[in-house]
Amino acid sequence: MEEVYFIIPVYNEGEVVAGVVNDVLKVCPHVICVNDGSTDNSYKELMKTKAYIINHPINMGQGAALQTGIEFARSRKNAKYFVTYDADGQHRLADVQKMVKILKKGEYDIVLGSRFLGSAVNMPRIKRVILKLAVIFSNLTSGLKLTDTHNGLRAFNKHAADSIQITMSDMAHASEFLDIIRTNKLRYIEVPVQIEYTDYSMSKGQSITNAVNIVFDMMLRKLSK
Amino acid sequence: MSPIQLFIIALTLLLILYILGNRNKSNVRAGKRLLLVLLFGLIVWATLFPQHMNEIAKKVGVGRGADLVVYALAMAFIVFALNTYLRFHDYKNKLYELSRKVALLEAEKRNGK
Repeated sequence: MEEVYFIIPVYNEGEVVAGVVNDVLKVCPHVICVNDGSTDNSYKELMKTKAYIINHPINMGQGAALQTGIEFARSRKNAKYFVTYDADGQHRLADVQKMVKILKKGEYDIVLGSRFLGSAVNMPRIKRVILKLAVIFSNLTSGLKLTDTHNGLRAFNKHAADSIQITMSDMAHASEFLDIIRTNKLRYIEVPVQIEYTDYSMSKGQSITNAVNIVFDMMLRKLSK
Repeated sequence: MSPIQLFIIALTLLLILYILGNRNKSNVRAGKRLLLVLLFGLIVWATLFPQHMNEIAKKVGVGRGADLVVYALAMAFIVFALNTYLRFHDYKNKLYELSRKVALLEAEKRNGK
């Protein structure tokens, strides 16, 4: 995992982030944490770890944090593979290792995690409905065929990393990722992953009303191109 | 639906699409200013000669002159709101770009290139 860089956006995850980062560091030496203007003790907690820390001076949203992390990562000399990973501990490292293995074979540029191919433990029903709708919407607007479009777990190679330019700063970046895949003709594959919904991660998750904002922003972006 | 209603709705939609697709071009900026002046002229005209508005309204079939003025104002408001939204959006993007640069510079200084 020497050539793998983890990119973890962090926003007010002080309670759990050090644990999550240290777990990742056990398998991969390169972890980039983008502290997105957290107002809690996230930064202090991150300083206890051996991760690279990038501090956004203001809160800019998860999409913006990912872009910053990717820009930092792709400028590192030995960076060949990149993994985006959530700070709240809902992803599994075993899944990442599986995804990187696929990448290393070189048949795909980007490997996407899907909780609907795999399993989602303790997922609330309303969340499932919203996510399914998001999948339908995103497949329509991006022209790809995926089973889970809003999964934070992705692994990609340098070619993909170089073509990523996320401009949607908030959660709409998930749909933008798909646009990037299509316009750059990246070779993609979905693999089943397991996502575990804990009380902690559920209290942090996306609010459902945010879906309205996302759809609005997406439409506006499509129109103003 | 009367022809004038169709016309007003279509015009508003076209205007919105045009602004979205061509923002930041100087002729769009000029167009918006021109619209503003036109609107101002219309308001002065409508204040001085309300009966003119009534006559025009009757001709195109929207009832009273006041309705016509309300339509014009509503259209102007939509364009204004959209314009403001887009401008803030652009400012936000610039601010984010700048913040990212700062964050990356600072991180590179700390970690080495």
